[in-house]
Amino acid sequence: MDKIPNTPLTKWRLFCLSCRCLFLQSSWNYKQFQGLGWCVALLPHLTHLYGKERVAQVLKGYLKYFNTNTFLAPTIAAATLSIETETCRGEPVTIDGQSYPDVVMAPVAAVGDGLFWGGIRPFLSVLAVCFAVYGYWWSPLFLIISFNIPAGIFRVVGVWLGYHQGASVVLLIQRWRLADIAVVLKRCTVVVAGGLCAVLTHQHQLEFMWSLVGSFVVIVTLFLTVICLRKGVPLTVVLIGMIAGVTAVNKLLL
Amino acid sequence: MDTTQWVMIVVVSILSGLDRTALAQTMLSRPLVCSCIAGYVLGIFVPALQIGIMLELLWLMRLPVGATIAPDDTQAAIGAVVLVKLFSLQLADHLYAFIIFIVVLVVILAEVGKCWDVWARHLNERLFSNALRGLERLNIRTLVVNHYAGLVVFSCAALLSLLFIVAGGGGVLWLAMKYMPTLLSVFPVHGEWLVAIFPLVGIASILVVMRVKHTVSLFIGGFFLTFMLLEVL
Repeated sequence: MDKIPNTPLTKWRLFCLSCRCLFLQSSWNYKQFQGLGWCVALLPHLTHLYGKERVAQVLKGYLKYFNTNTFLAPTIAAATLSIETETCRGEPVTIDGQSYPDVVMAPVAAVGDGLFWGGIRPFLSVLAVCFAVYGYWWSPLFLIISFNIPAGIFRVVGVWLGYHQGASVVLLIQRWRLADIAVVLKRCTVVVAGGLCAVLTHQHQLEFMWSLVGSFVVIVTLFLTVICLRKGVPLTVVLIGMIAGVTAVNKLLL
Repeated sequence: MDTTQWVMIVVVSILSGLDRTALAQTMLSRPLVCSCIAGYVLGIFVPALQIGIMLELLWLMRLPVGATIAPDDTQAAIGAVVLVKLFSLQLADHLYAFIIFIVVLVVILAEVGKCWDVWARHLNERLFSNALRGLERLNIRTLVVNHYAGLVVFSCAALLSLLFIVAGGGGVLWLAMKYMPTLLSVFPVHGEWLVAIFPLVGIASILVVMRVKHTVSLFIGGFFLTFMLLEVL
């Protein structure tokens, strides 16, 4: 144990850990999901702690099933390394480094996926499509930049917090109430989707009453589409059916 | 299309294909983004933006988490842009109808195209087994090499998916070209506004998944608020 370095991870090393977590899913497979990427992300610091001779033995404990949200993974990785450092120093720990990811990965995945994939991405995508419909060339840029600001903050700041808070970082994530933020974003997405629907179907050349009747027809059709999709009708069939239906109505009316 | 443009499309296809799962997930793989990049490379930005709008919302709620695999909308978007570039000169008079036809085609092909993603993930199982064997021999380098080899596998899957969509779509278009005027007279999909059907179906698929309280009221509220605003403006 006398060879174990007592120096904490520097900001640069934490940043490198965050960068390695970008490759977490590079070898994603059905057996162990992100397991291999997880090991590779932790490898440099584990080598630093245990030395080249012992690290292979330690890694055997880490090379197993792992699956969590990619944006919150750096936080868990840093917390795990913090626990490993404490263990190597001989400090008392509440949970060992190899068990910690097993315990936290599922709840963190649920919160992170709900926020990023269920909340932020749909909201920003619908907003970007709104801009694109008006022909703004920067709408794809808007989508990329606005998504990566929160993602980047979670990746960079999360790793720092994870290392300094250790195992208790999950309590911090709990206090951020990310699930509630996701629900608010989902509601906003529904409102913006309604707005996008109006933008797509509004006809300037029609009189107000005819435009209103048209809107009513669009909303009814949309909810019928929702019912079809809920009943399990494939999206492709719904799409082709709608194009054929609208074209037929168009041909009959004109 | 010249060689430089093909090379650039391959680069865009690989980078955005990796962004879907294997690398960073920066939203480069979203149809709106990658189709615009492909369109910029091929000099057809406006039709590419239209394709992006049409495809962006369709599979938005098929979340890339766990073992779920969504249809490959990334390569579908790039493939659609390539097909428009390759065939648009022959059907310049019916560009909107042509774009709608191509997007319907790539939507069908994208469902099949996800097989490449499944293939890549199965192939990665071998990489994992190799890494495990290497670790048993206390060889750390094998672990790292096999992990990053997954990037090559995902790149190949992205390229194969694009090739499948372009070749399949191109084949169908080449066969259909002879009957296209007849087809367009039966289904006069000339209206620019018909493009809106795709995002509308996308919105419907979002509403199917979004299980929040008062969805209907919020949606109708958003709709009429914007509608009134557009009327006033």
